[in-house]
Amino acid sequence: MADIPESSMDTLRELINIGIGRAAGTLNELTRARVILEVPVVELISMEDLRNHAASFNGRDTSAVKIDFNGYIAGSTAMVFNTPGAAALVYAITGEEFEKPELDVMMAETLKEVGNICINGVMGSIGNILHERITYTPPRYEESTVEHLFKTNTIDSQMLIVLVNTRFLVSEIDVDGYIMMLFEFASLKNVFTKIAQLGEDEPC
Amino acid sequence: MLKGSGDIVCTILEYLPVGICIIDSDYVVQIWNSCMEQWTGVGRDTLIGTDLREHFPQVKKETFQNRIEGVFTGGTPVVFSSKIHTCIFDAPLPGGRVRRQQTTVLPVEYPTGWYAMVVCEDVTSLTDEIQAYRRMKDTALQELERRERAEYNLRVANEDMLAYISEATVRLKTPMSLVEENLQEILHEIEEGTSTPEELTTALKMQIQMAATIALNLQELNHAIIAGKKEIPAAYRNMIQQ
Repeated sequence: MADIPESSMDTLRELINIGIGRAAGTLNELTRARVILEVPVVELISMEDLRNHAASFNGRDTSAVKIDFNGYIAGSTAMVFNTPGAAALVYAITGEEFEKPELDVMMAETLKEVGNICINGVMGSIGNILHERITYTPPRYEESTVEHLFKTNTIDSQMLIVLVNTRFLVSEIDVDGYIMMLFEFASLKNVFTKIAQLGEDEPC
Repeated sequence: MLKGSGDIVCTILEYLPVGICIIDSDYVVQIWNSCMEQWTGVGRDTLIGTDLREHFPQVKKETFQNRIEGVFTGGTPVVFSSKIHTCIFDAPLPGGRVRRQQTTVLPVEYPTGWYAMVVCEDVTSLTDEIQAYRRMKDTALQELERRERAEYNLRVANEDMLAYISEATVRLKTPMSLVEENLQEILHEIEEGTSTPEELTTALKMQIQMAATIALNLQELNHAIIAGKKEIPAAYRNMIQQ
């Protein structure tokens, strides 16, 4: 991780920021609620770090929307919330009144669309600079611990995660959401190679 | 048209129990399966080769088109939830109700380029069931809350009643002990022959009267418990009235 130039990380942050901004725009167009997505904090972490990070969810099940990808880059992207936060967010977005928000099938389906918009924003931004063939699975909703979320996608401990932390502000609620992008090491290298090329191509 | 290719996949799509529509990047309909025909009442002869946007206003919306734009270049699939969009295709149920739809748009690559496959699922029954479940759950929760409140009130009333009965018992115990003592005394006097029969008769009459008063007090207590007299603790009286 240390050999990734800070300028490349900055470019990645910018791409993700653009993607998040686009997602916020789409969410505002679609829903009655005004959705604000705060400027995300982007980190590059290892699988081991993710295990430590899982502690922030107290080992509880999370609500996640997940899309796997393959091709020029391979891995998986998940939008992760703690379950009560996810329920509150969906109810706020749909403008439904509630006493005890609950994530039933319909609400999980709505969360799938919200997650889909955010993931598409970020993956779209990255895809735009790659100009390579990538195939994606349809988004799916999962409830599991952070630790188990990527279990089926993890090939080895070399895999890296781009962790994007953003806050959703809707009506009077404030929910922390994480976009976790799990990449095979070679895939992430491909992304950073393209980012480096992008920097070289830019006129001074 | 894709259908003309004789692809077995087209035949499979035809019989799937979900609505399937495949369009090219100009929104020209390539495949419109029988489920879609049945739901929308629009036949494939009318639709195939025409612009989907001309038939369904939701598809014409810029928000829809912007979302699926990336699909025509092989981008990420897009989902439209029934909660936010209700339906993408105008496909009323036999009774005229709106058919709630969950729609997924997937990129499909053919030698001629990228196409968008729109997969439409009818979630009306599921939505109805969930809404009925929510109503049932709310009713059950309200009932549970009412029962918990009633149980608490009953506990309070029972405690008050116990206190009342204890007090009444103490009040009745004193005259009962007095009657017992007096009867022992009368028995003693009979054995010793120290009293005249007239004196014994008078003493016994007094004890009988006292016993009758105690019996009356017990009866009053019983009535009080059953009929909810003023002496009964308020919580217990409320319970009886409920």
